[in-house]
Amino acid sequence: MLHRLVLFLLRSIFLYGYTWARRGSNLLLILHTGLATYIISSSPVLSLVLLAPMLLLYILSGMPRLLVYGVLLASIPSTWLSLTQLILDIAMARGLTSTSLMVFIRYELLSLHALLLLHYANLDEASYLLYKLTRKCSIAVFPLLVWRSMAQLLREASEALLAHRLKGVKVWQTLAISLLRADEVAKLIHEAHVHKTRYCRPNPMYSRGALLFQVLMILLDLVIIALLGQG
Amino acid sequence: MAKVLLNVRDLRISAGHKRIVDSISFTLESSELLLVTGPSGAGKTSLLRALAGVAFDLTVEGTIDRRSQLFYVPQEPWFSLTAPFVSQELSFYTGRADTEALKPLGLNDKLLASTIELSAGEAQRLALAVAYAIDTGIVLLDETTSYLEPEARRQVLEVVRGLLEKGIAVVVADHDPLLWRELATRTLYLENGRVSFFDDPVDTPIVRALVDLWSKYELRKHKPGHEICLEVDDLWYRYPDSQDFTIKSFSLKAYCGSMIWIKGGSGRGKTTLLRILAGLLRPSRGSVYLAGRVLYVPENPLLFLSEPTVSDELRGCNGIAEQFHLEHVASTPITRLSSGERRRLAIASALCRGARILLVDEPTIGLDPWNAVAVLEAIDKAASRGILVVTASHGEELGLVADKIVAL
Repeated sequence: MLHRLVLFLLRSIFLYGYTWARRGSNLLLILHTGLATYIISSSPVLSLVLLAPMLLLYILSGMPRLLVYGVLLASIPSTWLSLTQLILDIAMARGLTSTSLMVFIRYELLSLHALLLLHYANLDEASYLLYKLTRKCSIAVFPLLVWRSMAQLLREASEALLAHRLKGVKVWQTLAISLLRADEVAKLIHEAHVHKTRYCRPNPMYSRGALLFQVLMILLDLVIIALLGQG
Repeated sequence: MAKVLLNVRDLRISAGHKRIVDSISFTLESSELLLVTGPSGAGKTSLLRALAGVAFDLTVEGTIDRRSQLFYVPQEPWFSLTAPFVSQELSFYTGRADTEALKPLGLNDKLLASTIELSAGEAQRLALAVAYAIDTGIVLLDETTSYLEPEARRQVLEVVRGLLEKGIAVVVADHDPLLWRELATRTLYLENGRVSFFDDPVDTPIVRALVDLWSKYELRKHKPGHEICLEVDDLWYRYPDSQDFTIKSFSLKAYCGSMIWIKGGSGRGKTTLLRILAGLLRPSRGSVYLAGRVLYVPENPLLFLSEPTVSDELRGCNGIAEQFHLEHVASTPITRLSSGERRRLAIASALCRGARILLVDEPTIGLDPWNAVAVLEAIDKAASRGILVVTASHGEELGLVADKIVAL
């Protein structure tokens, strides 16, 4: 089953192609994540409003499955933490309170926003900024290469885990070999990129729609914060 | 007058105490194509890596004078791409998301696709598209057509012709010299470390031996059994991020002791189908019945191997190393094997582990004809022992041992 778990992790983060929504601004995205984190930690109930623009973004950008996988992935830490809270409440004879539910909502939303950051990060912009800062292609290549390599390694890991399970190899042996091979894979990637990265010409790619949506999300965050201030 | 872009003098390549390439000298001018050919493990990739200056694990002596910028496309397409998306790969190196470079390679409809979802053949073509789109003087291509079907190979040849017309010098390593005959200005033949040059690739010993090889061998000696080993009923599969089905209403009944060849061009769903049969992917609709233990050898054979050396991987499999021409690398760590050696080792290892059904993705890719024949013979032998072998491949040689051909 481990290969399915790895495949699930792969799909939770790396599904879909290069949609317009992935060409927003990283700064606006980080700002939205920061404001959302403040709202979620201040009022878990009010922060449920944040789900609306999130849902809309995943649907409009044609990436709804990513939200489904994201919700499932986010529910792993949030369920764990809320159950711990529930057990603690029962053990301390507080009875059934809403605390564990609040814990669930808080961590589910925080995890979903962390995933939103990953799903809609503008890697072109990140590469471009690194290039502007360092003037080195070998550094500018990092956001793209790390992102692709993570996806590639997860995909290969799921395939290797299945091939090894069918072969009768123990999981610990597969994992040990995968770690040893990571060094080999790094060498092969390095070899392939020694000359290639000399040609880099990073260029930020933006989509008006993505930028507009990010601004609207920030405006909504500010409205909620204002309501929190009044409450 | 043509400009010399690469000047190689007395180049010698060794791995430890073993000499891989013995004293090569040549010059390469603009618009020239040097074809490097020879059997698997002859040192073609080592030579290209040395020319590219990336043979960090080898001892390289002599002089390599690179008088122009160089671009190297390695054999393994999985490691040569940089960006998560196709258009990003182009825009990062060219400054624009230019579909023009993708058109001649038949990839223009993949502009927004994720690069990890590309088939090996598509990934290889994308790597070549970047070489075509940038401004470079020398391009080194290692087995760049090995994952491609005939039509895609022709597209690659046209792109390489375009590179030559732009004045770029090209070095191609390939074990199929006839493919490059019309473009190669010179051919460098490597065998057992020795080097010889030919004006026409058809004069190389590999071509003569090739004719002998295919006329000599009679394959498909096995007879299929009567017991059903695999039954696929109305199978449909759609990737979670796709609108279209990759596999549509696919049905198949296969008998134990037979060999099934799933054929089709790159990106047609051959690998997807094999992954479904192996249990890696769940069908969207339909059912798969497998009668017995299954083993799956993925397209990247490294993913199948689980032991540190060849002899460890083949422990308890008497005589199979010789059958697959692997006895000379018995104590070699698997990470140091050539791509072809890894593939042969993975198939050899799978064949001696007592599976009833063997699923092999691209069993003959990157192998020279002798090793391809060794693999085909082993598959034929396995089928005569009652094993069902299902292969997904674009290699026409699979037709020599296949009982049933399924076109996707």
